[in-house]
Order: sequence, then C-alpha cells, then structure tokens
Amino acid sequence: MELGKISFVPPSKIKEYLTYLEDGKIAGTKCKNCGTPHFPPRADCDNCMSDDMEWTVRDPKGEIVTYTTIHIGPTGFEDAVPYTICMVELEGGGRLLGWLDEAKEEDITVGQDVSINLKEFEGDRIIYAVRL
Amino acid sequence: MKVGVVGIGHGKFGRREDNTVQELAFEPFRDALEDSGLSKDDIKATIIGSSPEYHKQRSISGVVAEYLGVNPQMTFLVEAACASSSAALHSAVAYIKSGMYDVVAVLGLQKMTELTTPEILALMGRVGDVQWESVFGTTFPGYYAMYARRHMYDYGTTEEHMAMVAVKNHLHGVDNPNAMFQKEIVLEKVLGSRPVASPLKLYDCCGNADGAACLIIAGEEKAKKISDTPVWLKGMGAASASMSVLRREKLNTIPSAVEASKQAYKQAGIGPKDLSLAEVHDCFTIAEIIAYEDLGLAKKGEGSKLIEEGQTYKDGDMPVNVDGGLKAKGHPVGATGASMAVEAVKQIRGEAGKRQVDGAEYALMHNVGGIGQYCFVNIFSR
Ligand SMILES: [Zn+2]
Repeated sequence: MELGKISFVPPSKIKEYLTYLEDGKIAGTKCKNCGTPHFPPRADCDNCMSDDMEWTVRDPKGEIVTYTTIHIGPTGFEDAVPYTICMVELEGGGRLLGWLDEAKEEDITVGQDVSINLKEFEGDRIIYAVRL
Repeated sequence: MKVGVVGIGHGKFGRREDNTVQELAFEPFRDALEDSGLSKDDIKATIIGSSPEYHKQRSISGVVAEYLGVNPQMTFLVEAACASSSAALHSAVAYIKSGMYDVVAVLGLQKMTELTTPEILALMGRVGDVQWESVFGTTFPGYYAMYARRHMYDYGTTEEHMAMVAVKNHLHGVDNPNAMFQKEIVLEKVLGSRPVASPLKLYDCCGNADGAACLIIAGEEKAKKISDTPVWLKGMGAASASMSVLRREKLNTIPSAVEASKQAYKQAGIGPKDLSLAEVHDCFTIAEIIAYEDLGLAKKGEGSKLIEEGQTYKDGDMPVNVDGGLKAKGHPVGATGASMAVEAVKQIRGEAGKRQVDGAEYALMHNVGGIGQYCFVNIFSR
C-alpha cells in the first residue's frame, strides 16, 4: 500500500509509516533525543540533528486550515477532477492534505472539525478521506 | 561597496515558439550591452537565472554563453524556481562586492512553450513537496488557491478584490510593448472565467510566456566610469521558507517575503512609505494582495483595501506593477526577476515612456520563487 493517488518518490527511511496505514493508523515520529514531534514523519530531526526516532500514533481528528477544489488536474489526476483538497491540522499537532469525502466544497469552512479516514483506493493505495 | 546597474535589456514576452532559448537570450543581452556602451569583452562573467526543467537543451548556460559569444569567460546557471534570475543577480552582486569580477551580466531566461501541454501538466503536479502533497494532486494554482481561501476567511478578502488586481494589471500592460497581453479586461470577464483551483479562476492566473531580460552590473567606481546615470542597488534582501505548505505556520502570508523585505528596507535605510513604485510577484491575483501586506504597503489584512481604493494604479499613491505585472506581461519563470529589475531601473532613469511614474525615486522589486520557498526583494534608486 502507498499513500495518495500516485507516488513520485519511494517512501524511503520512514516506510514503516505505510505499515501503520495498513493497520488503519496515522503515525508520526518523535525525536528520542530532544522530544520534538514530527508530522509528516521524518527520519532525521532538524531541531537537534539526531536520527534516533520513535513512532507515535496520531488521533485521526482535526480542523480544516484551508481548502481548494482542483478543476485542472496534473498528470495522473485527469480522471479525478474536480477534487477538493483539504489541509487539516491534527489535534495532536502536524498537518496533512487529504481529499474531501462524502461532502461538497460548499458544505465546508475553515476551522470546521473533521475526521481523517483511511480509504482504500484503486486496489493498492490509501487516501486520507476528510469527512465532516 | 555600492553596486550599480549600468545596462539593461528586455525582450518581448509571449508565445515565441519559433525562437530557441539562446535566440531569446541574445536580444536583451545585445540591448544591455548597447545601453551600457560596453563591449562583450568587458563582461567578466555571465550568470544565468532559469528553471532548467522547461528546456529540452540540458545545461542551458553552455549553449547560451556560446551563442552570446562570451566564451571563455565564466558562466553558470542559478535556479530558484520563479525567482531564478533574482538569485542570479544576488550571486552577481557578491562577485562584484568581493572584487573577483568588475563587470557581470545577469541574464534571466525561459522558454516555456518547448513543452507540450501534457509535459507542462506533469511538471505542474510536482511543484510542491512530492512526498506528502503532490500525491493528492496539488498544483501551482492550487497552492495559491489555498492561500486565497485562508486570506478570505481571515480578512474578508473577496473574489472581486482579486479580480480588481487582474483588471488593474491588464490596464497597465496596455502601455508595455514587451507585455504578452496588451489588452484591457473588465471585472465581469475575470469573475466569469472558468475555475482553475477554487477560488482562483483562469483570469486570476498569469500566463506562461517565453522571454528573457538582462542587466549589467558593476561596482561603484567602475559603474561611474561606464555610465553617467547608474542606478544603484540600495537594498537587497533574500530569504527562504519551507517547501512544504504543511510546515507554514500561517497561510495568509509568504514569510520569506516578510523577511527579505525587512532586510532590503533596512539596508536601503527607507520604509515602504518612501517607495515611488513596486514591482511585485503577482503570479496569481491573491499573490499581489498578500504582497501588499508582506511588503508593508498595507497593514496585515488590509491588502484588499489598497486595490479597492485604487491606490496601486499608476496614478495612485502606491503604484504597483505599472508594467502589467506577471499577469499581463506574462511569466517566463526564470526571466521574471530580471524583468522586474529592468523595469525598476527604467523607472528610476525616467525612461519608462507612457508608464513612467512621475518623479520615481525608489523602486522596489519583490520576486517569489515557487510557493514562497524563495524570496528576493531589491530596492533601486539614484
Ligand atoms: Zn531532536
């Protein structure tokens, strides 16, 4: 399983992230040296430069920071337009982009509480589905 | 050491499929040489600003330097997305200040029409952080749309305010013979144009263009020998911000622009009120409104008032983008920073023709790379 509709780069040093996704969990990393949480996860801490990390599971809830509906999609997304991208700030800190699901752009506003659902997509992918 | 601009050149921006990149580069380079009165042997280095992924020719500086006939002098390419030629200017100034070279040419160039529409769409999908953002189909307009949505929520900015920016810049573009579009548009046309990334519509977006612009710079003593009217770089600022939009604390501002403008004002010893005009990076209409605030032309959250009151028209209190901006002039990514600098110098010299701002004393340029990961702000004066 991989995140999003298409991948451009391999999941790299933080590939364990995908194992959490397959388990239905959204995980970030936390620096064991200085305690800084990282979401999206990082393998290396830009605060203290340590690479000693542990995984922390995040609560899949948050609020909408901003959003847009894409009408002209890039390569690989032509068949998906229009889709609404929401930026969500997770309750425990950190942000993600996901797709608005089971609602329309007109139904949402900045600051609204939403949940992040892990939705299987095209067989081998997982999408962050943002629901009211 | 003061650094002065002693020569400028600006090619026609627009769809120029029938020109190679080096042919596009030749025009402003030749014009800048002629403007300075120098011969090309006087140019010790040619620093090129461009975004390489648009060109079929790899390592573009090589072919350009050959075509300009500047071998064996030093050349290389500088990349900072839409701010590439400002980054080239920044590097060139460092060479002059260090004393390593006494005269340096800065050439911003880009040919966008070499790519097919599918190739452009593929590039557009990789403008953001490709690991966490592009996988959800973000696009360049999509990022500015997210800024716009947040700005609307935080400050009450409307789609009409954004449309007003497009109307103004198209009007200004009428008087710029190098602009891609020299045609007025009306508010209804902007508001009725098809959606690209809500709330942005087609006429909120600048046009992809081909083009090139050139500056020749020199240190104080040398500049005075070359020119009776050098225009000085009075203040320079450069800053960066996270590539990932997820790591931006606020989405109604470009933090690198705030930081770069602080540096530039401080070095120039002036404030926003002293400016005669500003050339700002209006890749999308919302970007100009945010620029008003980031540059201190308006208080935070009051950028839309500036356009609503018409203050940023050529005859207003604070003229912005009197050459049409990216919106009407077109945005040949790597050439845009050099183009802004050329306009600033023309205005300070009083050579801007119909679009001349009366008594222009201080001209500021604000060139943003990508979605704000780079920003360069320069202030020019006599
Ligand atoms: Zn750390």
